[in-house]
Amino acid sequence: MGGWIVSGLVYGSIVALGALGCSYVLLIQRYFNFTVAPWLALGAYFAWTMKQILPQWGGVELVIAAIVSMVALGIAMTAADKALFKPLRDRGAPFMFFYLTSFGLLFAVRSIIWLIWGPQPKYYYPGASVGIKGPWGIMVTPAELLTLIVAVVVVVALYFFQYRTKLGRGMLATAQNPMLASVCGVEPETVHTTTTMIAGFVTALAGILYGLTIQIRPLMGWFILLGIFVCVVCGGEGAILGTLAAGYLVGIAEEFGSNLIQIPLNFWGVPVEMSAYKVALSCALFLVVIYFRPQGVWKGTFLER
Amino acid sequence: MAKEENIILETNKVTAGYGGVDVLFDASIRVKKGEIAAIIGPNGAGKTTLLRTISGVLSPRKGEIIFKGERLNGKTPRERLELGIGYIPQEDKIFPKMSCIDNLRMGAYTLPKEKFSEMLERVYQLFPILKERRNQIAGQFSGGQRQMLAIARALMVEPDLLLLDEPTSGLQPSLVKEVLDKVKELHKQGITVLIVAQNREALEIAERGYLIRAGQVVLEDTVEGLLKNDQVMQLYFGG
Repeated sequence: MGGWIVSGLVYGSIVALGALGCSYVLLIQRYFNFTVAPWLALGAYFAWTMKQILPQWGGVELVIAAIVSMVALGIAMTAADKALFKPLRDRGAPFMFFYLTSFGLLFAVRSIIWLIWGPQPKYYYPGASVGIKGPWGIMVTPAELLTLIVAVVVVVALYFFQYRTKLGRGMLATAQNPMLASVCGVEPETVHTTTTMIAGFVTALAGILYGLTIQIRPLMGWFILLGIFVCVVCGGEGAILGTLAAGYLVGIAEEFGSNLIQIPLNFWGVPVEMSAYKVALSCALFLVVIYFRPQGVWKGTFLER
Repeated sequence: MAKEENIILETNKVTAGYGGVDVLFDASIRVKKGEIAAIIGPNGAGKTTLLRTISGVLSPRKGEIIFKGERLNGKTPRERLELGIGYIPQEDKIFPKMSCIDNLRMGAYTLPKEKFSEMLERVYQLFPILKERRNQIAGQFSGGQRQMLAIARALMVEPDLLLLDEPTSGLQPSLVKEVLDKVKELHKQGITVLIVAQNREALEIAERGYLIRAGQVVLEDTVEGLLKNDQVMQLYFGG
């Protein structure tokens, strides 16, 4: 059972990183970034391609590939924002236009991924990795351990950036009242560029960690999109630490929950494979949280800490 | 001409609006350095639009705005703030989910870090209540405290010109006096004020005023003159 929880925390860490990218765009640019699914895959493919180019340096090549991929995805998302969403912002377009544009971009990015990398799954390091044994039947692979640590480090770093730096405060101000923020001297375009760059960094990181712990495939983002959506809502209006907590809940609900329910199903001989219905458990969690804690699982929000 | 009269702000035939609709037409006003000038007019006349255009939130479609001899057209709100224009909107004038001190930090956004403490002490001297409540979430403040915080936020950068949009709107009479007394105090310290006045008390603290109706400046006079104008009194202050 300990192993299920660890699997849930690993998966939840990835979901939380993807959700943070979405939260930033949602809270500052005021639309849900559906394109997160193919962006996440693109980040993973960028890193895979970069890793193929670099010589093998005992894992350092993946770190370099990951950093390059995060910056590249940040630039790609910022370029898309400037080309497609900025004109909408400048014209004060209705938010439906943002959602439709996001959908259009989703299909465009997905097609580009299929066109360049094809449908075959790819791996950063092919072959089974050796796990580290722990108590209570816990078995953690180095990739999983890395995922757990990286997610916590990134979330803490983002938290301090957001609430302890001038630019972070400027972003919070813009999220609350763009007009008042601008008369305080906050440059709106600096905020939007920072938002999409941060969203790009964390989305790419989520994709890379997903690729490292599972595999890289064109539709990888689709498989966790619903989990990301649930995490954004349950995290408490984008609360940074709350999003990580919500990610853990989503991960545990899916991994622990599916394995737990599988036990009686197997006992009664019900021919159902719960792993195929993990997403349903995320949805159930979503309904429970919305009913009992509509403000999210965390005390405070993105704007209130 | 402008130099002779010691004009700090001048709008020349400014036309501005929202979307495809113009709200303000050929508006020309002048504000002298060190004075309190008022803008009055009925709801929807274009008073807020004029202030937004001066602060840079809105771009003029025609005309020009000159501040301290410099043309403001094309400058961002930040550039105008750095030139010395502070703006306090009528609504949503604070960041309600931030603490009082974080609101003041936002006011000092363009200042170097080392100057923040000095400015903070100055605004605390002017508004002691803000020091007492510095860690309180601004959204929990009363209407009067919000207005004080908004003014303090704008003062963090030591503006030469303060644009105040209906600062006493929605306040109870005792708070109206308190807020206007603070504005007079700022004026005594040498800050030029352009105030949108929606009641007699606010108009009375000014020296001159402009009447805007249907987007056009239709009258300019001293406050005494405006207060004697039957049409103004009937239309805007209920007699």
